Amino acid sequence: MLFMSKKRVVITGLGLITPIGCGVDTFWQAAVRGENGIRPLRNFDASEHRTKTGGEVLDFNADDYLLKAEQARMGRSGQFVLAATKMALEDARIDLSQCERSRIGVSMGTTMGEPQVLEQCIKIKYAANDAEKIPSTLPRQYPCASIPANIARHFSISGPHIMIPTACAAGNYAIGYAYDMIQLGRIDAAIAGGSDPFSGIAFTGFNRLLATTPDIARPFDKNRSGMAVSEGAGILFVEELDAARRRNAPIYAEIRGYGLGCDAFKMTIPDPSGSGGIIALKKALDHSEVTPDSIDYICAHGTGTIENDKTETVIVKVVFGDRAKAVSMSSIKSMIGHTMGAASAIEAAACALMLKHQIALPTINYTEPDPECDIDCIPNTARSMKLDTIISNAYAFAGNTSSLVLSAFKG
Amino acid sequence: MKRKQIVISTIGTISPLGIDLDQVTAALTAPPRQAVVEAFEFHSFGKPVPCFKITGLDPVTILGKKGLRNKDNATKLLLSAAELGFKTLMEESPEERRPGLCIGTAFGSVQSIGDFLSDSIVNGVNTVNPQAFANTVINAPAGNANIRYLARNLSSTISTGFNSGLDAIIYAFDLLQRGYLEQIIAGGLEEISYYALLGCMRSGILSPSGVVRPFADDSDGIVMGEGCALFLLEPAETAQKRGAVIQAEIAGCANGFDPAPGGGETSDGSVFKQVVQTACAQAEIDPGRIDCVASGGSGNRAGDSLEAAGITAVFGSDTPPVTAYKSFTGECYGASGAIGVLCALADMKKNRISGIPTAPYATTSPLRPVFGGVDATIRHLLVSSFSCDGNCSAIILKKVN
Amino acid sequence: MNQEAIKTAIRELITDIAEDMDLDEAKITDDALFIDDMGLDSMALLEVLATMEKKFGVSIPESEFPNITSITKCATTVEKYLAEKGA
Repeated sequence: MLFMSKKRVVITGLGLITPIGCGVDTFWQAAVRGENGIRPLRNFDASEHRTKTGGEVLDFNADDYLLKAEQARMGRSGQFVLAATKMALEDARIDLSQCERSRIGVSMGTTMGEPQVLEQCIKIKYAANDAEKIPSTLPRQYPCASIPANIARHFSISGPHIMIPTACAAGNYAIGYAYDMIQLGRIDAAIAGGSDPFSGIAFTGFNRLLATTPDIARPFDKNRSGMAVSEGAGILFVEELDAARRRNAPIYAEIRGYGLGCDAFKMTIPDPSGSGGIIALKKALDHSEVTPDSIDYICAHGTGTIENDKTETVIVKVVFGDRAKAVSMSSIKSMIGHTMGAASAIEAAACALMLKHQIALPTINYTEPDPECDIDCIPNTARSMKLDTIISNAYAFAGNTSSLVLSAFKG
Repeated sequence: MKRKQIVISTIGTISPLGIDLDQVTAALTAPPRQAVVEAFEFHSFGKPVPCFKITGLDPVTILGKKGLRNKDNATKLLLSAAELGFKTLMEESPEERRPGLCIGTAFGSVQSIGDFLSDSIVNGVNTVNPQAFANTVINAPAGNANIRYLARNLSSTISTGFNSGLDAIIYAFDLLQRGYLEQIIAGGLEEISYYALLGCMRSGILSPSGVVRPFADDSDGIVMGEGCALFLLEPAETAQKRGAVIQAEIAGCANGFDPAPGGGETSDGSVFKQVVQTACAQAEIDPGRIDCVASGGSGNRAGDSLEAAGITAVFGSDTPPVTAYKSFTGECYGASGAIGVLCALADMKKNRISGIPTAPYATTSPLRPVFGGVDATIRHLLVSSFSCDGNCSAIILKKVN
Repeated sequence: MNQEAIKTAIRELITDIAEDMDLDEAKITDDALFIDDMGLDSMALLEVLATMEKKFGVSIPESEFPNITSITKCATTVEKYLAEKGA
């Protein structure tokens, strides 16, 4: 492995929009309590669907973050992301007016971008039987590229700019590339993360795949019954250590490296042998120059489907061997559901918080062990423990796999 | 450590310009080939809409029947271009060293997303084919290609509007510089979809006349195009070792975002300038050494004036010859940048610049675009794009002897 | 709708899927098991179920899913819900 340089990259700010709360403190307190964010749907009509529950963000008030005129220019995903970015920048105590904004990057992930905008356009067309009734300003809000564009425009950030829509693993891809751009010297800092709003398309699709739970998500449990479709956004402010030190920034954690792979198996089913996940996890360890022995905890992809949780157990066993059962591995999707393109960004933020507080978040709703998922999933109660180096896994439709390695920051 | 010398070697492409570099070279000396679309599965425009559509493509003859049943057109287009360009390479590469994939697309799977939704509205949410849901994720085409070639080392998708194709190449370049893998197939993909066309129509950017006139004072909009252009990116020594033809070196590349235009303001081109300067610094050249600019000029007047502002900010009054390959292909959105690179490779090889293929028209643009074909020695060529949203991307191609 | 007509529809769909998945079409018989004998996957079975529901205008509950293991069993299930619908 021949890297150009080995800089140190740290996480200094977090912004979170989740079904168990918006804002870092609200989220963290709810997560440590083991709160369940999967409830009967209120804002989406699920009367025709087999599943009636999901993870809606109910306490998000766009007015708290954006002017009405700004809200009108973007979809729900864009609003989530701008709000979370404001939180992350504030959390990082960064004064953008003191920064060279061409040295800040924007690296985002999503599954479908602004699906609600497309849904709105198509519904207008059908309702009026006339496409001319679609407001002329609406279509341009749809492409997922509008999400990072909204950030860059709002904060006048002119540095490298990317949207990586690799579905449910997109957050890790985006954070990983932000890390790469810092390593390559393209930027000093980045706004990185992922976002997805609740969409009828995703909800219908997962229902039709019989992948949704009828009630709540029970990752790794013998009686797990599927994933919970959810929404949210996670934003991380990441920067090169020297830059963070120069401005005396609070440091949550250090990004050690990441690895990507692909199952190349089926579009919607993971390879039961775990091929892509094993490649990503091994690469992540290799690129981060850490050994499996030094990993204390894994933030699982853990969707709560039969296939995912079984496969993820296989992946960890292959890579960690005899140590697999000693590595704690929980799924915060038990609490917030599957936030799609936001999932791994929220999980990376959760990992940063776990490292800061030295508390591992639980897998809630766990009642009966599954011999096919014989790992320590930190059942039901958060655990104070030594967390030095940890991993966050994220997998996706189309076979994309990813693992991100984070460490507690030590001067 | 020194930056790796990354080159473009093998090509895989399907567009109205043809299915290989020779066909593209020939198409750049011929009048543009247009077609029309009217009706799609769930929707119709009720009138023919001019566009640069790929005609006569039968994915089954290229790919065989297996595995295509539930795939959408974007996926079939990507698989076909990949099959024509990289089948042998993929089969001959040992699995652990097989190239990764990185695909740029603006609208991605919007046809599948929209049809999935339309189907659920028309026929009910409990009747849609679950297999069709797999096509709705934007990364579906790339993932399907990974599956076809058992390529497990990288599957990535980039979506930054018009700039997606260039940005996918820049992303792949960066991952190669990081040393994560040895070879990546990168490029752009876009199909003409009902929903993208409708969106452009409602936004008022589609040309009523159906004629592409980049930088014209009286230009009336874009004409939608489609296509796929993919390139194998690898270190020069890897290409040499395997005896591959090297098309060009990616001497430098960068992107950025100009916040001004999307906010309704005009741009002074300073962000575009900074992006080109970053790419030039990587290439270790002064911008004055650039022999030709393959611009993103498309006939969208707002976009063309941004492009002009950017290029003028870089070069001042001494602008090198500027062309706009979109006058041959239409606006292929996520594929545009990659098809621009493809045309640039064809021109560099022939020592010519393929200018706008119509009789010269009035333009007060400071760029003075090239009309018709002119002979030129090109050592460094800048492929650039400055989108209406504000995305700025630049790739400097360097001729390799 | 008699059972033979339903079986024919299922058989045609399975043949299409088998061809697409490059499976051995000789293994398609009315009583061969979809997954163990023919090599179909769970996604293909979901499609079979969805297509039958759409084609014959029936709603088959998820609880029947594990029982739909062969062309014959699938046809019997469709028939059962057709009869319920008619009743």
